[in-house]
Amino acid sequence: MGVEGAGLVTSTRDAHPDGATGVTLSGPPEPAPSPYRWAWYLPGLVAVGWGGYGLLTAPMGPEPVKWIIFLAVGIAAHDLLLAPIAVGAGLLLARLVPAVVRAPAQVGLIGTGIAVVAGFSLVLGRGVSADVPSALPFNYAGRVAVLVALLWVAMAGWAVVRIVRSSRISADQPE
Amino acid sequence: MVRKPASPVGPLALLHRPVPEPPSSLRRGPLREGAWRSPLRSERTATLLGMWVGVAFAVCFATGLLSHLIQNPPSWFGWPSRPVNLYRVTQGLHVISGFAAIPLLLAKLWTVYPKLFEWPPVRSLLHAIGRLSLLVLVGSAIFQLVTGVLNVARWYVVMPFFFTTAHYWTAWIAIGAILVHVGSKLAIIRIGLSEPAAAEPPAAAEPPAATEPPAAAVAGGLTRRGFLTAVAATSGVVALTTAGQTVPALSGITVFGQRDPRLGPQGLPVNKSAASAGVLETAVDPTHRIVLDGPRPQQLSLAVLRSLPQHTVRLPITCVEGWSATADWTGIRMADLLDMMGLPEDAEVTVESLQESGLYRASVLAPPHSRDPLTLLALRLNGADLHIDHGYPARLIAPNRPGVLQTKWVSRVRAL
Repeated sequence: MGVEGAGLVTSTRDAHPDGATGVTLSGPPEPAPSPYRWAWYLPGLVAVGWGGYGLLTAPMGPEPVKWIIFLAVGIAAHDLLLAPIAVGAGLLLARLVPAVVRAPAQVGLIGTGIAVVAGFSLVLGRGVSADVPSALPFNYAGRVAVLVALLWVAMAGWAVVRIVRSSRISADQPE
Repeated sequence: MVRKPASPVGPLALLHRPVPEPPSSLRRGPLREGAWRSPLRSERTATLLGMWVGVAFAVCFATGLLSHLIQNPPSWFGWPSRPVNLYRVTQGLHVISGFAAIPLLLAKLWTVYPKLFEWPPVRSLLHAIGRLSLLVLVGSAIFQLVTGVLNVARWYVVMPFFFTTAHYWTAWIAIGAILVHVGSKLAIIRIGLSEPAAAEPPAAAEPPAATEPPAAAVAGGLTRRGFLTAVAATSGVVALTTAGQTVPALSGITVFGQRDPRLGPQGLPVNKSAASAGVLETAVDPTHRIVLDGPRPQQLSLAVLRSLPQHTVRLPITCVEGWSATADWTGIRMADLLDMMGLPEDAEVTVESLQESGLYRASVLAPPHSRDPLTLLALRLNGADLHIDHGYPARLIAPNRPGVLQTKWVSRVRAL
């Protein structure tokens, strides 16, 4: 059983970040780099350089260390928290959820996870100010909960349809 | 087409020189070969999600850059005063596409997450540089979405920097890193887009086609197409439930929006209150006069302002945080005031606030906005005197302009 226990590896090519040709451990040789890559590299590198210059020189620009820490925390939050949670959820789902309702459960989990990630700062409401009551006027926790509930109701309906279809297929099979 | 290039020579050879592989005993857990088995991951999936992320970020970048240029116009930049709703659309799109990008980016990162555990971790110096450069790509993309969401949630204390500056300049890094990444993946993108449909895993409703663990484990789960559809649908729902802050018809289903465009004093949201601006007393001081500082300087009381020809216009107020709302504004045409000041048609003025400090205490009003007949020194909103949080006794309102430039609690109009 793999880390996710959910199927076959289908992507074995692993490009060199510089576009150079190479061979991955288990996959076929990597494709040759595109001759047009510099048409993307040049404006991209100019934009990155311009952004870095701006961050370092702009009035009221961030302190580099604080900017880097914030950037690193974002990466860590994804790589060490969100992604493992998603992978773990996929593993549990593959092991615990019957196949016939697995797809609705997957969509439900995807939607729930996104609702939590997109809405957490609004739900926490740390930006609410009595001074400006028209800002953040909603019960965000309630609205996120309703959205997630509607999603799961829809997924439950889809699961029922799949179960009924599956039982009909089973009934049609010769004994 | 696969070909093997010529080996690099000279200093480049050092970059390409293979580094020793770590002991295979270290290759455990997620580093193991075959550890990552989800059939939902493929070059086609990664390519399509990458394209969607790219489009969302491109829209965000273009609309954000536009907003920056409007607020900080270089000499070569001009911004029209019509159509009056143009900025409302672009800035609304900025925030909506940013929120819509959240599921797209997370799905894309999930798709390529196993690459974090590729073996060996480093094949050459160039490979290491390439891997480190991905930190810039991923980090800046996450940075932009997180800071954008925090801004909408008005949760500034967790950002150890001035949001506007950091968000703007990091956007250049993010869009540049995306371009570089696309350039490095062009060949693989081409393959991903031409990947045959036969690569699809078994249909969701089919029973397991094989008894080996991976196929059995995924039976009944989403197909790649189903996964992509789910991600796209999630992105669409997030967009719809964000758009209500600028589309009144959708405000009833707002989940991720900062405002209800119908809520606030006089039925209009407020972004900065009189209390936070420190003008609660000065704004209602009966001795307050608005100074017209030009060739013919004048000081006008509220009574005098009310005696001047009044005009009513229907204009949106649009916040840089993406929300907007339309209202009826009544006041004196700015063009009339500029004439009273003895200014020529092409004159630029600064409109200053009673607010004593703050980045947005003053704004520059230049043609075409300064002479547009829809641009007012507004005294009334939706048929009543301005609420103090909306800028009583007088505020600037002009078509197709960010809210931060619609100066409230006007104290002075100064010729530049």
